[in-house]
This record gives sequence, structure tokens and C-alpha cells, in this order.
Amino acid sequence: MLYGMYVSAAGALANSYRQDVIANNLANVETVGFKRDLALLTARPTEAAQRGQRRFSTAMLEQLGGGIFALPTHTDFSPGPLQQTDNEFDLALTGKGFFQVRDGEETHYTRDGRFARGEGNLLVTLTDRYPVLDEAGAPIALDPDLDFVVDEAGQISQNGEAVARLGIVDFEKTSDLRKLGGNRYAYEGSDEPQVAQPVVKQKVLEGSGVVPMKELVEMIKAQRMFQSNVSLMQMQDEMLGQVIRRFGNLSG
Amino acid sequence: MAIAALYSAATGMKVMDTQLDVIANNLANTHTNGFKSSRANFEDLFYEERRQPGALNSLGQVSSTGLFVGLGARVSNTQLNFGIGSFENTGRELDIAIAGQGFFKVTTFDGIGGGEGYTRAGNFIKDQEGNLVLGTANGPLLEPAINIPPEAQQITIQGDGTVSVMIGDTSQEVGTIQLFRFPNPHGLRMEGGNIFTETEASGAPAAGEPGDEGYGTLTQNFLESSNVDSVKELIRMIRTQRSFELNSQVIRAADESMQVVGRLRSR
Repeated sequence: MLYGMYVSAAGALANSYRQDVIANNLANVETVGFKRDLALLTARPTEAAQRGQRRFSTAMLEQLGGGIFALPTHTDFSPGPLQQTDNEFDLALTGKGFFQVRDGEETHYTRDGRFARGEGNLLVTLTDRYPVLDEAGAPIALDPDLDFVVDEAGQISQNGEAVARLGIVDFEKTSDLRKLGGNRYAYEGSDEPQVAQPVVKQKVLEGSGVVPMKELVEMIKAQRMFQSNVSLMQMQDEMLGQVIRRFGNLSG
Repeated sequence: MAIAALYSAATGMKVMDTQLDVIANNLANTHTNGFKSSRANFEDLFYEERRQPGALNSLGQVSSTGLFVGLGARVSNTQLNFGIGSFENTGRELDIAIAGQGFFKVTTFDGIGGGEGYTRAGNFIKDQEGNLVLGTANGPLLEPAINIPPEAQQITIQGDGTVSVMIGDTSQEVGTIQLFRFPNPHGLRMEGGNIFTETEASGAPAAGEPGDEGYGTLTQNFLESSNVDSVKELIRMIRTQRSFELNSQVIRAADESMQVVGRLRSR
């Protein structure tokens, strides 16, 4: 069979994967604190070259390359646009860092600053009602009868008295963060999280980091590249068919 | 083949659709007294793991992160905005606005919130027995009840909730309006007719007198207008509509890709 067919198929599959990633980005174009994913691709050397076999079966073919590979998902953590709201429990981080929330035993991280006063008067995330953690990693208890003020350093005060300071952390390798859905991330790296000092804004939310125009351009690109790869497969199929018709006719 | 893209885009369209419904309701209530606007909150759905982190790649190296493809977005909840609407001077003596975060308590049908409803709309009227009722279609009774004697001439409601009437030349106190607060007002359920009811998420109401810390004071002759910011809502509507359109484009792109595959073997 023609070797190129498989290379084209790999190209088509890789671009189909890109479309999936772009579709998810665009579905989250209005999700608070969402960060866009990048579908990264890399050239794949041939099997023989990968294994370090120097004696190629066909020197010409083996130097062509072996198609394309999807790289691990990369998340673009650049900040999203800030939107003013009227709710005092809406917080945004302007700069690097993540809020910490507690899901059972685990600590998760989020950029989504939509909080509320939950059970036991704890400060919780609005979407899943997980407690938000302070500097010491403990949940934050609020007095339900008092106002709720957060200054730019993340210090929460009620009625002018300091209650707790939001525990905001950052990671050296943000690539070790894995998306969990629900706007949360789990950290799977080995380094300890570092304390971060972004400016915290109250009554502000960080919008989705997705830029629709960029994604649409990417989508058109992925779609066209998918089409070209499939066209190439068709072309090679036709070539093969012609060869069979011309030379494979035994009755001739 | 781009099937995930199809469904992700569909979830995107669905959340935008819900957002549009919420905005439509907000805009429909721009002139509803005591109305609180809502917003739809979104979150990303779970992620499909196509390659585990730590798996060996073709070069025999351990990849530090995996390959995850998200499956779209969903509406996590709708959230009420309890910002106080602007006060409108109506000059009606039974129009009361709350300058603060408290609620009036009214009786509702037993099936709704156990007979207890809460409202910020202060347009009260008298029923045939002289009791104060909320001036909505159902006319629920104010709790605790305030009875205005038929011979009363002028009704005065003070900032601390004291209701007094003039009978002849003498002023007579007829009751005190109480206010209620919730630990988490965002957890209240909307029942329509300007009524909110208690839920497990809102917590139990705490009674207080107008003027107590956090409850707010009463202002007679004024009504609290809807807190819908129509300009903001319209802008949100435009964004939502465009996002809806964007997601429909993704469906088209995924569909066309599948069509291309379908025609792969054309002869």
C-alpha cells in the first residue's frame, strides 16, 4: 500500500483533534475564569528513525517522516478580560495566581472568583460550593450579619476588622495543572505551590480567556487542513486504482 | 471524527440559549418593583483523557502531562443580584422601600415555601378588613399583620418600622413592620409575583427591626425599582447571541469535516 496514505490519515486525525479542542474553547467563550487550551502538534519521525535504526529499508521513504503527533494539551494561562459586576462576592485576580478550594481531602485551584456564603457561613465557590481557603489552608468563616470587604491584597475584612486573608498561590510549572471541569484545576507536579501576590479586585470577574476571532481562524485552518489531508488520501487511492487497472489486468 | 467537537459546540449553544432566556426575563422585568436580576453562571464540563499523563511517548520518554480534550460547557446555576434598585418617589403612603438588605415577610399559599414568602416590593394596599397586603396579583398578607382601622386618616411609617395612624386628632400606633435577612440570599428561590422563598441553601431567616445592623431602614412614599441595568443586559444579550452564532459555526465546521470523510471513497 502507499505509505503516504497513512501519513495523510495521521494528518486528518490530528486536525480532527484540533477541531475538538477549538470546539471546547468556543463552548466556554462565556465561562468565567476559563483558560483556552492549545492543541499542539509535532512532526513524527519514521518508526526506524525513532528506534535509532540507522539502516533504513528504503532510504528515500524513511527520510520522508512519519506523519504527525498530538502533543500534551497545553493551557494558555494569559489573563482574561475583567468585567464589572454588582456582587460583592465576585472576586477577580489581576495577575498570576489561583484561589485555593477544598474538595474533600484535596486542594484544587481556580481562577473563577464567583463565591458565596455557604453552609456554616463559610466562604464557598458558587458553582460547586467548595470552601475557599485562606493563607493557612483553612476554610474562611464569615459573620452573616456583617458586610464583606476584600482589599487588593486579598485581605477579607468585616465591619472594619480583619477576618482572613485569601490563600492565593501560583506554580512554577503551570503545565502540571490538569483541568477538572467546573473551572477547577488539580496540581500534579512535585513542586510546592508558591504564595502569589496578585491584585485582588472585588465586584469584578475575570471573563473567559477565549478570543473568539483567534479560535475561529484556527478552526477554519484546522478544517481546511483536514480537508486537504482527506483529499490527498483520495488522490493516492485514485493513483493506486489506476496502477491496478493498468498493470493488474491479467487477461490483457 | 470531530464528533466531540459537534457535541461540545452543542453544549456551548445550549448554555448561550439559557443565558438568553435569563436575559430576556431580566429585560421583561425592567419595570417590576423590587425585582432582582439574575445571571446564569457557566462552568466547563469534564475533560476526556485521550492520553494519560506519565504515559510513555513514542520516543520512550515519559510525558509530564496528558492529552485532554474538554467536552464543552454547562450552566452551573443562576444567581440573583441583590443590588438595591433605585428609589422612586410615588407619594403613596403605603409604598415602602427598604434602604438595606432586609426583606418583608408575607403569607403565601401553603404549598409555596411552607406559607412564608419574602419580598422587596413594598407596594402595599389594604384589604377589605384593613390589613396590609402586597399589591400583587395574589395579594399576600404582610407578616406580622398590620391592621389599619377604617376611620384612620393618615398613615405614617417611620424608618424603624413603626406604623401609626391619625384618628381624629390623636396619633395611634398600630404595629411595627419587621424585616428578615438570610445568611445566603443568593440561595433563595424565586416564586414569581415578586416573592422569594426560603431554601436549604439560603439558610433560615433571621428577624429584625428596621434600623438594626444590616437590615436597613424603611422609607415611606418610595418604591424600590427593578435593579435590572438594561444597558448591561443588552450588551450581554449581544455577546450571548454572537457566542451562540460562533458555536453554530463550529457545528458547521465539524459537520463539513464529517461530510468530507463520508465522501472519502467516492467511486
